[in-house]
Amino acid sequence: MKQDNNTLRILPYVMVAPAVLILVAFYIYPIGYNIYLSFFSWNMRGPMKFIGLKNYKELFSSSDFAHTLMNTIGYMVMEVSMVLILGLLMALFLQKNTFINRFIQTISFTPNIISLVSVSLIWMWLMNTDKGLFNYILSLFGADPVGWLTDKNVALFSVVLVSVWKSLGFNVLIILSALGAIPPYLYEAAALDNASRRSVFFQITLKMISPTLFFLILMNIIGSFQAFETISVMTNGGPSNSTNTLIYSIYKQGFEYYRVGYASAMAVVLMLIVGLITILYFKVLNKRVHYR
Amino acid sequence: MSSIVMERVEKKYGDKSIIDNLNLSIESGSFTVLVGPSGCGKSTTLRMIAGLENNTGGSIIIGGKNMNGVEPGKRNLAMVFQNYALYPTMTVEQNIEYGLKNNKVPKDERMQLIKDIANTVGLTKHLHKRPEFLSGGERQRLALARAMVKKPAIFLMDEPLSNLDAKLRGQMRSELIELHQRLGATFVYVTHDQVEAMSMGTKIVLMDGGKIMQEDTPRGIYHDPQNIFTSKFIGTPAMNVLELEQCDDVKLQALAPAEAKYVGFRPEKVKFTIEDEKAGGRSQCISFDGMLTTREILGSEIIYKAELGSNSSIAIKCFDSQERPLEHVTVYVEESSLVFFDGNEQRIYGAKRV
Repeated sequence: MKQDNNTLRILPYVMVAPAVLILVAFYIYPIGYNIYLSFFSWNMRGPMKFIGLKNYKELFSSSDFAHTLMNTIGYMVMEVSMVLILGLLMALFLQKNTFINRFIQTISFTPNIISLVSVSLIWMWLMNTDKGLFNYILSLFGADPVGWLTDKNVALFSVVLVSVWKSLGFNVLIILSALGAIPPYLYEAAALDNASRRSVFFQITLKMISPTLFFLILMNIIGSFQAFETISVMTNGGPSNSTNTLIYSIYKQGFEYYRVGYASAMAVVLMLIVGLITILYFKVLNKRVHYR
Repeated sequence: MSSIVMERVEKKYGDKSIIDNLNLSIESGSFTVLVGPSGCGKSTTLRMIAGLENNTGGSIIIGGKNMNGVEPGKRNLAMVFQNYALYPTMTVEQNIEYGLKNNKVPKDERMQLIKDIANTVGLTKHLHKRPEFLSGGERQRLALARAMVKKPAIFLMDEPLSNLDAKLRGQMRSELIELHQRLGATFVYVTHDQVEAMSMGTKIVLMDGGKIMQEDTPRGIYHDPQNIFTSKFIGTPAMNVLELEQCDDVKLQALAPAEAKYVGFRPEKVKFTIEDEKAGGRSQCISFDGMLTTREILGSEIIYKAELGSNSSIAIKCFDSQERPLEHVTVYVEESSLVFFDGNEQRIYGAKRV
């Protein structure tokens, strides 16, 4: 009887153990270890040396880090606004369920399933300053060649362009489904209320899909913080650090310069930023969900 | 002027014809109820009046103006939807205000109108809530308020009470009747519920398969059905309709016009006894022998089902307070209560009223 009771008491823990173990092994432990590492100076081989907050001090006084942060924010703003505005326009355009629209939708979704590394190479070729297709087309119009990946004022935009191209289809898909979920009788009620097309769009369509748009904003922001492959393949963070984002810089510090502690400190900062955005998102969302 | 005239109106979806050659005129200030079974075209008719569907043929004339191609918002009408179609992202106040804003009513006037209407429908306390926080009855009243505030000449209602529970529905029914009397506007009301139609309408338009079966006052449609469909759709239980061939009453056969195929009579016209003092007495009645099989006691009345010999059955509505045992009976129907229908299920006139 007593043994039975003990078994009963343990059983729930046994049941959740696999999930908890996975969570601990692959999420909680790495996060903890990362924070731990950020207080050390270590080159992956030699002895680890505890240096307290020195990594963070260096981080916040480094102009490179500030530059990296600005690049990351610039990347994020460009990516998110382009994806959402283009995505919304495209979804509105594709709303009517015709054959050609379904075709366009499928086509626009395919980049999402292609490996980013291989398409980055193709984009590099397209954007090549001397032999690229883009500059060839520009030359047909008599325009000067653009250093898509070699001009430090353009390179970040070029990298963003690839990312937008890749994620646009997915975003269109989500926005389309949100548009489809708006009950048609709302549009009928609005028609009877003599609403203009502009008013219908801003007062009904946009408000009804606002939870979805918020969700996409968050996903795209987080995604933009993680942009790595395109930068690694296409620019290596250059020219003159103009495409060096937070995540790429973490990789460089950690795995090229072997400054593990310093890279860890950067990772902690990145984690805090993403966490903060997530919290903000849920705060806003709670106030503004219009599902019913 | 807010009469509605539909002339040779057609509605087709692709090749499928929903409504073919519909002619209907709805008088200004009437409470017209479009009633019929699901898929009879009543909602489509209403939506064509509203302009939410375009008629593919014919013309719809509202207040003397041809409305073909005129946008819904420019027809001077308001509609209450079955599911209310409230804007979920807007508060009660904004829901009411939206139509006014679009019609460019000045802000001060808007506020006054909202205040008044909220008072009328009892939503003053809830002005700043979103519809999801309202009860079913409150949502219903908000839908009405949103329609009323625009002071339209015509109110269209598409089964607005079907989402309410029975008690609230009864209450809203009488509120709507009062509202109609107070506003004096034209009401066009769609329902599949014949009780709702009978209780609220000043005119009933009964539809089936995209056609108007009968257009009449509630009294007329009940007492003077033009065809079997009407006789069976209106009234609970439905009118008893028997094939004449299956009836062996000699007197009935003699009474029936030559082309008659069916005979009908209302359940409440069936009597268990004959009041002999009444002029004519037994000689003016036809009789049926049958077996009572079921009994529903509804309080003020009792409904029996009687199996007749010929594989058919009739309903009997009886107002005796005492219920009868389920046994073999002979029942009587006065001749004046009989109606006859021909082989096309159309009424044969000449015979007296039910």
